[in-house]
Amino acid sequence: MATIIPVERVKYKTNDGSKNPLCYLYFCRYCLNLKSSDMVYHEIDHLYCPSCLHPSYQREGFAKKNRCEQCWQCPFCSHTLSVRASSVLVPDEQDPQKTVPKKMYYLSCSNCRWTTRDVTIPDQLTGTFVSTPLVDPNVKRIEEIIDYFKYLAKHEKQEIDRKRATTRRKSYFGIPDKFGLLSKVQRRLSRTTLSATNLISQSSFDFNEAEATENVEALPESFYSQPLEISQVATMAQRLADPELQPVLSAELRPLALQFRPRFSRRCRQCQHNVIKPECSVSVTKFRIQMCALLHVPEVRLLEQPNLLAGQYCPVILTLTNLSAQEFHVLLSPLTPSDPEISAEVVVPQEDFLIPPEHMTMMDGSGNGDLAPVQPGSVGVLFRRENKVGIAVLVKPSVDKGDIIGSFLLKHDYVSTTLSSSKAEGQEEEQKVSWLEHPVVVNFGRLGESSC
Amino acid sequence: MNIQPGAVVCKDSVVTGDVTIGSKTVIHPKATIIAEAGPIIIGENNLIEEQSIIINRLESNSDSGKKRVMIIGSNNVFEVGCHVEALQIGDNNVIEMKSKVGRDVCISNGVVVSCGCTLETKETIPENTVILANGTRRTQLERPAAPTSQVEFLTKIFPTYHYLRKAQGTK
Repeated sequence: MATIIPVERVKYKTNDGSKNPLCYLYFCRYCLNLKSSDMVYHEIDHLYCPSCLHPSYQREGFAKKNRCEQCWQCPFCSHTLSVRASSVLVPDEQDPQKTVPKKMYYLSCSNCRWTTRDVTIPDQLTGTFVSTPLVDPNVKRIEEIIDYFKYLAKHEKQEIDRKRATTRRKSYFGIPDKFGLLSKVQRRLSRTTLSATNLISQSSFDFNEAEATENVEALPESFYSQPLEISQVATMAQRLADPELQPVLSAELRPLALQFRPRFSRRCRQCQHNVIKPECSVSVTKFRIQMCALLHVPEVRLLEQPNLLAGQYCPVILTLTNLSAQEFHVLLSPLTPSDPEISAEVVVPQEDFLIPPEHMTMMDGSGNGDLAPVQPGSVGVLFRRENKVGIAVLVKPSVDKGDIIGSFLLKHDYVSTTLSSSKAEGQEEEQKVSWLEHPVVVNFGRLGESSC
Repeated sequence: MNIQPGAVVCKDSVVTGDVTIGSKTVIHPKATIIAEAGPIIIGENNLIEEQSIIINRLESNSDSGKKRVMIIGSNNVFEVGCHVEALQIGDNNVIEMKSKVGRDVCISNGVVVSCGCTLETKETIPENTVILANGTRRTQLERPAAPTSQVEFLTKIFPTYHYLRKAQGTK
């Protein structure tokens, strides 16, 4: 994912021990915890064609081999093909002497200029190109083998049933019919035993087994005598993109049907509630449920590359941004380093502070007026902007070289609204305030580097 | 500078040196044609778009006394931002946007140099080749179409919006 700011610098630790930037995490409001990509189920919600946006469900897509019927892909560069029209002069039906322009359609790639005319596929009268299914020369043999396999499987099943029936019959023999169930049991058993109809089914199968031979066709002479024209041979990627035909020459390439893409919905593994659920309509980019961690947890960012010196407490400015709709009370606290890659001690301010949501503060920046100025060499709140707070912390690197990595605990309150069922009035919203803790790991960079 | 009658050369373009421009060729404003090391001869029905640079560059090292002629054929399209120093360009070629063609390259007919491609080595590109930005090449069966419809349209439109350089043989 390309980002404007380096998101890999600040990572949040999730319960499975992995560390990810906040933009890659989800937030489950029932478990009240951050969830990484591995802690959610990725379920396919529906499929869609990336070109015509035609939606389809999994079963329907499976029947169509997960490919669109109308959209085509260039076999040379995998770009989407567009339908172009050209007018051709055709003799008029009424008057063979006159020529009338007629529109003929062909497929063309706007990226690499490949056209269906390059592989001598004739232009069509209609704009929709339909694929002609290939006839596999091995189909008959494969069907024969499948039938033989079914026959063998049936016989094996009959053998197993016969053995099971005889053993069962032994155990029920001689028991008096006290509750009138023996007749029912006998009827069930008779279904599994060999009946007359089953026995009549094929007792033998006429099957030609494959013969192994040592004689292999020799390589044709042209391989040795004629020079290879690289531009005429399809590349391996082009050849394998069409597994049905597997064209060897680039003159055999044919347009491929465009593959469907899935739209995922994500579900928390712990509590089975949905974390991400897209809308049914493909062209809508909004989500029904969008519990991205960025929208529920304050985001920590490094303001600028700090100038770090080994063994000394160096000032570093972090910013905390609130992208949610609620006001956060935030408290930072130190974390005992349990990770071997932690190579610095981080001193954080001990007081808690507020981060308002967007559009709630005064635009004249009066929030900065009542801040106590932070002395150089100490920690505290440096500045405030709308929904962002700048914090001065101190970082003491404990190694001489390599990346300086420090960690601290980010505690914030979270007002969760979950639906709770109550017997009297049905479902009603419940508001609960809870304090959440997230270990944050920050890569401060290397010693001696500074952004200025 | 020798502009044949029928050519449309905007005054805003930079044309310096001994440049011959054939008829029905359209040169957009902000195009640059510099004949340093020798004359440039441009054929007919070409389309040279904005910010494209066609230079017959003067090399500082050897053979500075020799004059080298750059010959560009007909029906070519030089798209926006391309940089061409090749001495021989044939007919019906398309040099796409922001591509660069070096001096030692010899382009035959029907060649398409895709967006962003750079050709620097000494070679002759065979006919009807398409060169993609990642280096792959393909031979197509048909040549790219001549820019006739665009040239006709621009010949009508340009005089109403831009000042043009006077062609030889007109009043």
